[in-house]
Amino acid sequence: MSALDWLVLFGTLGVIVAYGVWKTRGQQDMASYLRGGYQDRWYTIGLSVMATQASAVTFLSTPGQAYQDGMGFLQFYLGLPLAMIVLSAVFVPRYFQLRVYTAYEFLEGRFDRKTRQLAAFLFLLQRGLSAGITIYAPAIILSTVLGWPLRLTCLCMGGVVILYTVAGGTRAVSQTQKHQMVVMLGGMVVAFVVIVRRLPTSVSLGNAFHIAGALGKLNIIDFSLDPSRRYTLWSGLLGGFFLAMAYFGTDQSQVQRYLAARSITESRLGLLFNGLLKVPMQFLVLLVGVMVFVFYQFNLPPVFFNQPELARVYQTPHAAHAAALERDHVAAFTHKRAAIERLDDALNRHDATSIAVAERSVRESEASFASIRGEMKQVVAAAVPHANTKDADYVFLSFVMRNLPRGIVGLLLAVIFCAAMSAVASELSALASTTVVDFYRRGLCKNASDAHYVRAARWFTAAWGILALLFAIFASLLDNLIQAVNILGSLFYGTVLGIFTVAFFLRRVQGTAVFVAALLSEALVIVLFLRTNVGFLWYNVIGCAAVVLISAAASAFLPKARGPATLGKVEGM
Amino acid sequence: MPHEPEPAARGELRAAPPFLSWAGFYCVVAGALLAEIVLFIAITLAYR
Repeated sequence: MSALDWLVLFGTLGVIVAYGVWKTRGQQDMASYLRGGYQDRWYTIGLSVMATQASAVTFLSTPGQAYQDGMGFLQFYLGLPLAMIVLSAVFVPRYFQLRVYTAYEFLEGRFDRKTRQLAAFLFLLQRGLSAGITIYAPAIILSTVLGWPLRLTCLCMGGVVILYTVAGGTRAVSQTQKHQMVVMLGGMVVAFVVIVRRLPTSVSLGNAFHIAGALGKLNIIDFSLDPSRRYTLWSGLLGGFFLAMAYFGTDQSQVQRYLAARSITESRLGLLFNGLLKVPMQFLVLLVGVMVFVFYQFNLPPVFFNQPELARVYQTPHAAHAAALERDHVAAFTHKRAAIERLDDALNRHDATSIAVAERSVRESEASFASIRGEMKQVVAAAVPHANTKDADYVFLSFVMRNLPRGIVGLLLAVIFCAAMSAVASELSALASTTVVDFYRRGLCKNASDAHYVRAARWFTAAWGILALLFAIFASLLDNLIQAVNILGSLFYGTVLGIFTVAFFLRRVQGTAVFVAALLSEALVIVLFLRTNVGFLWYNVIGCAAVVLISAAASAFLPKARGPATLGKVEGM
Repeated sequence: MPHEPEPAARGELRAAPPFLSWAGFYCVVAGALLAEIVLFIAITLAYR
């Protein structure tokens, strides 16, 4: 990396963090520390909500996913705008009416303490474990490609986040996220423009789309009704809607973002802003991956993008096989490039017959080119024990480091760091809020002063941060655990959303019925996960529907509580 | 508890957004999604 790249990287991160800390200095009460003092405008809320969802993996893995499998992943986000409408109309007014600090507080007023703490516990379990992964996942890729020590990368990323989140609380998170999101969006626009300009001069944007389409990379919409297919229009609209409802409506790391708004109107507008911008943003990120793919139709790509892993193969007896495959890879690329150039030429001449012939030739040469890559992955797996042969995560960063000009490299690294820091900061702040409000203040230490709870929140933020950091630093020793944690999140959202759906829409159902229903529904989702191959987006629909149906049925059999269930007051404050 | 925030006033809960009604904003978001889906279907069909 050049001095200019280092300057851009550290300058961008330093200015954003320093501004966030300066802007939020001197906060003393809980309302400012945990809810941001009700000062944020709609655009801060919208950008903060987007930045919380966009982790570093979004910018590292998503372009690689488009490079490898095309743009079908975009369907995952199609339910999100509809969820923003429902949240804006139903959830936000209720949360604001009660002025809750956490989403789970609302459940005690509506049901009882055990239901509130069950939902809060599920959040702490899932988010507490995933905070470490949010640091570890980008750190492993950054350290591999840049040659930085893994633990130092984790410490730098996590340490800075812990410092400014402890110092400034939720307002520091929102203030930094606003600027981090601007850097992320700006960085991806710059990346797209630079990549398109690096294509050969004969290749127009239309031709680039045609080449990508001919090789199956612009297959955005899939109408299949097969439930085992992960991303289809229907799973995206329905499963994605339920997932977005659960994530944005009941996950404290998101709820805390829009509770910081200066008014309910600003909060609702912020969510709708997210609903408008999210799909185009993901389209852009995936399109960058597709343009990287087109770039590599004219420039030789690595046969395997995780280069340090490939270098290890050359230290083993498989080196000769790997070298032979690299030679085949170069020959296949030369053949494919000639076919691509014929297609580009036919496109420029608008000759339909030549275009059809060239497309067939391009597809055939791509198939043989891809088979060499597949064979190399098998060699890596055979040569290096426990090797990670999924190299899609390395495509974008490897492309950036090899092909983009000085300064832009620093900017795109800043994008990745901003994304990691913004996601972790939200998680730490939300974990601390939930621990203090739903457990510490509710049960362990009920009548202390406001200053005491702010101090406790700072300590809990630091403690969750250190826990996440330790998890990230030692994560490489715990491969199976990481896989389990990644799966964990998708198993709980449906159940938690079901609890909130009953709370908002089934006013006759009371606490014990929904508590029992939540436990049974969670068991059902886990059985489905263990025994079937249903796509994970459907767990959100199934878990939510099961809680609603079981709690409605159970409430007919369980004895009624003395008072009527209300949507009202939060107890024990 | 000291400094506990007050529940939001009824007027604040019913406050109208600028420029459009809430229903208008919801239509804009839903309409944008519909337009995006149509665009994505068109791209899928045009470049396959």
